[in-house]
Amino acid sequence: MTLRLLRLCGLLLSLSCGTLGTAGGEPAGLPSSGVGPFRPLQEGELTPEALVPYVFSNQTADYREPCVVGTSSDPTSTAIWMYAVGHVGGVDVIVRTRADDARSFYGDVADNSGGAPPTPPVVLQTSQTWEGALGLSGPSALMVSGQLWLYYAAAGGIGLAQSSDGLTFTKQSAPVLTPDASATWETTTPHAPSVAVFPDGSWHMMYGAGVSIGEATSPDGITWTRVEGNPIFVPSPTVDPATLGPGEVPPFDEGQVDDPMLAPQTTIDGRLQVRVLYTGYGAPPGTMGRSSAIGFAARFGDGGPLSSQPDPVYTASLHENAPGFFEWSGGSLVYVSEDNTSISTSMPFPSIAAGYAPATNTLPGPAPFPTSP
Amino acid sequence: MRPLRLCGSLIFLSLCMSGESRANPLDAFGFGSRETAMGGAVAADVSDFSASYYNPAGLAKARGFELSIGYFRADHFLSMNGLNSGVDPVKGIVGGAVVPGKVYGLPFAIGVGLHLPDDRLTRVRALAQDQPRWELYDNRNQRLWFGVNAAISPFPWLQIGGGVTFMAATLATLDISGHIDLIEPTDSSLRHQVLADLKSVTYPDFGARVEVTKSFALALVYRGQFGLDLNVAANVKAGIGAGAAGDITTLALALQTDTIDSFLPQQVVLGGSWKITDDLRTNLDVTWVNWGAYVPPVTKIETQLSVPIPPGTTLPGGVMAPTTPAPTVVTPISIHDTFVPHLGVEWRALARPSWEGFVRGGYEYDRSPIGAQTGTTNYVDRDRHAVSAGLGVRLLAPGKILPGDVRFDVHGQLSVLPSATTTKNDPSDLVGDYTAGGHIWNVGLMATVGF
Repeated sequence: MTLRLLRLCGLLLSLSCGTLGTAGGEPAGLPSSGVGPFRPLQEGELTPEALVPYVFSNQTADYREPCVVGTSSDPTSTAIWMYAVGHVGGVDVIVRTRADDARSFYGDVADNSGGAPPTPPVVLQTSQTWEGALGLSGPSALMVSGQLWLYYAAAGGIGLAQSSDGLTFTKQSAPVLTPDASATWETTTPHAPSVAVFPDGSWHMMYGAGVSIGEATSPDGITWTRVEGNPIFVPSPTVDPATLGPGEVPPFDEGQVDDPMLAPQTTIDGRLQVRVLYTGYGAPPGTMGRSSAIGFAARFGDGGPLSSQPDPVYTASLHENAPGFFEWSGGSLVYVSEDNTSISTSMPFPSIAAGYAPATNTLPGPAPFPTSP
Repeated sequence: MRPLRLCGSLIFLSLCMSGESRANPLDAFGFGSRETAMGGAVAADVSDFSASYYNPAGLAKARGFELSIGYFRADHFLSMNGLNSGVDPVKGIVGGAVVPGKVYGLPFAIGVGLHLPDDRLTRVRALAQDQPRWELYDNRNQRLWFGVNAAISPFPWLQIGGGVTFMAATLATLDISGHIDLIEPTDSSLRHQVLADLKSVTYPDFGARVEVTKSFALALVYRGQFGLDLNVAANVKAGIGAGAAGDITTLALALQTDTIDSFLPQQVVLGGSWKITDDLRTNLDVTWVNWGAYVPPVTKIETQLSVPIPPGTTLPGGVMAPTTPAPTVVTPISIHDTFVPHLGVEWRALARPSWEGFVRGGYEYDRSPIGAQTGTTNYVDRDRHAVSAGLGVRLLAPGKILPGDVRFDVHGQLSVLPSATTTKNDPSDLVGDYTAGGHIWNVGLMATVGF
């Protein structure tokens, strides 16, 4: 008996077990703020003729500074309109295009089944004295009671145009936000507006000026008042490269923050979360070849400064800037102006690229290009 | 006597050499149908194969050689923001054996216990710190458990026991060298060398059981802490060239990853068993779990990368020279020790000359050890209320071949994790606020043959 026990004991003590098994299921349904990190669109998510990740591109028109608005209240719908700056007739104008899948835009260079791509219509161009002659920029569109309100920037400040069909606009006769000499941080004319209506009905506008981002509020979307405490978002403090550890990089937005894209939401806990995508520059304006990336900043509540993520949520090292944003039940897309080097690496032209989040998911195949803008 | 002394010495040596203890699915879902049905409150009331886990001292109470085998399955229905988190089920074969005997005339027994998953023997999954995951359910329970224990009863009122459990740690190196051709990738020639070493890890547990009276017993159990070390080193050295032009630069990458996976902290169990009548018994265990020592399975990565750009080369737009990434900075996890109460009841509802029937019930409350995830980490967990029930049948001396007994036990356990909301301090947190909760079903059955 004792010998048997010894053998058993020895056998058991000599055993060891351990191996790697199958991966099993991946975590699913993970919560997210919906604002990245984004990955560039990839092959299979755009039509085969398209050059990923560009969704709206034309070497002549130089489409850039996108802004999108959903055309349906259905949270599963990906039908959107895009307003973007284009260079038409020697001046910068605002054009409109649309996509049924948020990716295949009417008039993109790949929309060429009939030969040359169709031309998206110009919906807004300079026509008033305060706008100057250089053109328009920074469109920001939102639906208000069935009307489309389109804010834009021009030489004299920020203007507003309204439309019932999204194509034919009526401008306000004067800018809704003009330079304020008492705001010493606004070393440039306010530009790059982004407007949203908060759940309490108040209107909020964020805009770029100088190297920072400011905020104004309005009861009706037309009469705007700058908030106390501007600027609400400034560049990250500059870091001396000599103090960085191995592999560490300085803040991507220590030179300038610009192009806010306002996307408020109510969290699952009922808190108002003001989400802002923005362009972060690694060097001040005027610096040759400065880098840029898309960052994310936010705050809880309807007022106060923004805090930001230290890392970009979208980066391609192609001077990406001016983010637009669209969110639906299947994820979210960021649209950015980005250098297109498909024709020349030394002479890139601006195009509109898109990134998708959750980055680990894959979008279904693209829809056909729309037949109208 | 020598063989027995040698055997005892081997066990003692194993215990002394073991520095860590177990991480296993048994803590979450129990081990054996009778024990799970009683809420795991059996430290002072166990003598079958499951004593290898609950209290090795109980083995010394075994009446004869026993073989047990069964199956259990736990399905998770855990969600975040109303979406199922897809946590894999834990399922597999459960079993073991008890071999009693005498040493110096004293009751002595050896027991083995096995939890053998039928999907995988173990799984390692190291996620980014900010990725939400059910920290105590997603991966930690996906592993094999195998324990060997011995016990002795020096006095009729005292049993003591201990043992070891086996697991493996991984140490691996990966070396790649050769030439990468940018123009003709098929002309690239890379040599790979992989060296992997699976080291055996053993970890101990000890237990004691004291019969205070004929109807009341106390137990004390210690389980050490365990962590599965995973160390992988990769080295890549290659020349990068374009066709016949030869190498234009070189690639040198050294990567070292260190992960502690499947960590489970040390535990101390104080248990009591009160035989109220011949037919009714109630047990209470309280387990102290040293969660404060927990090491989350976050991979620490250190990298050295060198790809020198040849002089006079201009990179096209969008292309940047790769640089060495900063090493991973692991954010400490907010976690604290817990006391886990287990309550169990067993009623011999039917007693016939040739068989007996049992009804069992149990309850366990696991207060979540993980602090509020208000920062960048998302180790999701919730308090757990586990209610269990079971039935058992014992056939007494069913035949000449089986002079002992045959037992069949089934159990069902419902764990409820009440939903709660995690709110973030940083409004720019990329995960944001979320609710999490759900429930887990655990069912199983066992058959035991006693000789």
